[in-house]
Amino acid sequence: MEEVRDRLTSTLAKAEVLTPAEFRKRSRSFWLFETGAGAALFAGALLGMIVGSVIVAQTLYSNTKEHLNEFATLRAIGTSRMYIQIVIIVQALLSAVIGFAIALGTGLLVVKVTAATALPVVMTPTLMASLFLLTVAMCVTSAISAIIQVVRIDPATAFTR
Amino acid sequence: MSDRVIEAVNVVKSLGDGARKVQALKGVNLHLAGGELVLLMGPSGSGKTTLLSVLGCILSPNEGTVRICGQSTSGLQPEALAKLRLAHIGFVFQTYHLFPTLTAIDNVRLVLEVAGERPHHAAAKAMDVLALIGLAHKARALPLELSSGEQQRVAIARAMVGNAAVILADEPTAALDSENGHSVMSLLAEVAKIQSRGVLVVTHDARTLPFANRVVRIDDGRIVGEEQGAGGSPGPTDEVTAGL
Repeated sequence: MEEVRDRLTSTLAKAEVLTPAEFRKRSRSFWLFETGAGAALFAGALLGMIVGSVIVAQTLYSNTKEHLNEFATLRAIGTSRMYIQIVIIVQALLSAVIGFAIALGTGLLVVKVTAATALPVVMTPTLMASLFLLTVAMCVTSAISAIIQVVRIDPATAFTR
Repeated sequence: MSDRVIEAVNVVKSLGDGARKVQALKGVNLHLAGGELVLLMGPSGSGKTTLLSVLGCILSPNEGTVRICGQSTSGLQPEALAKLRLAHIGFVFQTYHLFPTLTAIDNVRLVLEVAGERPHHAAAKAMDVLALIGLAHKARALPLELSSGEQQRVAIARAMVGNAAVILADEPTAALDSENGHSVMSLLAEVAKIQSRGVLVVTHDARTLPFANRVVRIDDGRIVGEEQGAGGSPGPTDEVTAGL
């Protein structure tokens, strides 16, 4: 391939000759960093992460607040903090799995619809796995505020509510 | 009566901080033996619920000693106290505090699962206890589908299922009518008498007096009197407790 390229370069003095890998790299770099498309893509993804994290955090926090009485009862009967933290993290993981399943379904639909177009969307197994891990990390991190609220609960409130 | 299952010696407990600090318990001495039902009576603000919380290892005393089944709670960290509660103490609350989305059997077995028991063993034990108190037919009912009396009996089943040596009940009849109050007190008296557990009931409901072995009176954070009670369930043929 290098030999062919050298011959083409010497024959076509004014042309730039690239291998498929070089052309792929240059195209990706052009669209991501030299046009507004890349910035818009990154900004959209970042915004999605922030909004998603805030929604999960708010949902878990308000859900925990609504059930403080039950958590106080659990603490009063002798449940460990660790057990209660696990309950909240399991809720966060369920949010992650359900949210990811919906997003994956939508994403695969987009992949199918765009497959025959000039700009197909590609979703590799590695990308899917990475997005799932990112979603799980986002949801578990979002559970922190709810966990802090529960850890501070005084089991004595079970007698006063 | 068997050995002391709970003992408070010179217990002092203050609540609040700064100008709002109040000494709720001022040197309380109290014990509870297995097999007896003791009523703790006193006016509002006398320290009943604070004492119940201290005896239940939910609050730690500022001074004095609390022993649960012979084990002192002094110096124990919150997680160690939680373990002690789980192992030895069952709670019955005034407003039941059942988990509204769990069925009666799930409410009862939750205690066992928290303690690390396998789900199928926990379910079998929970069903046994529900059968014992005559509520097996309501095992799959949600709390909202149960009457107030039935909810309180499920709460008692939850307190009993882990074989707690002590059952602490906070105003268990306050939200109940006369008939249900009688049935709940009969059940608690039988739990104490037949299962050799210590049952301490905080109440100001005079209807509970016939069920007590002892009545302890508290006022202004001090034990001000103690008298012998009628000594147990007045209705040995009571259908609620027949299974016990």
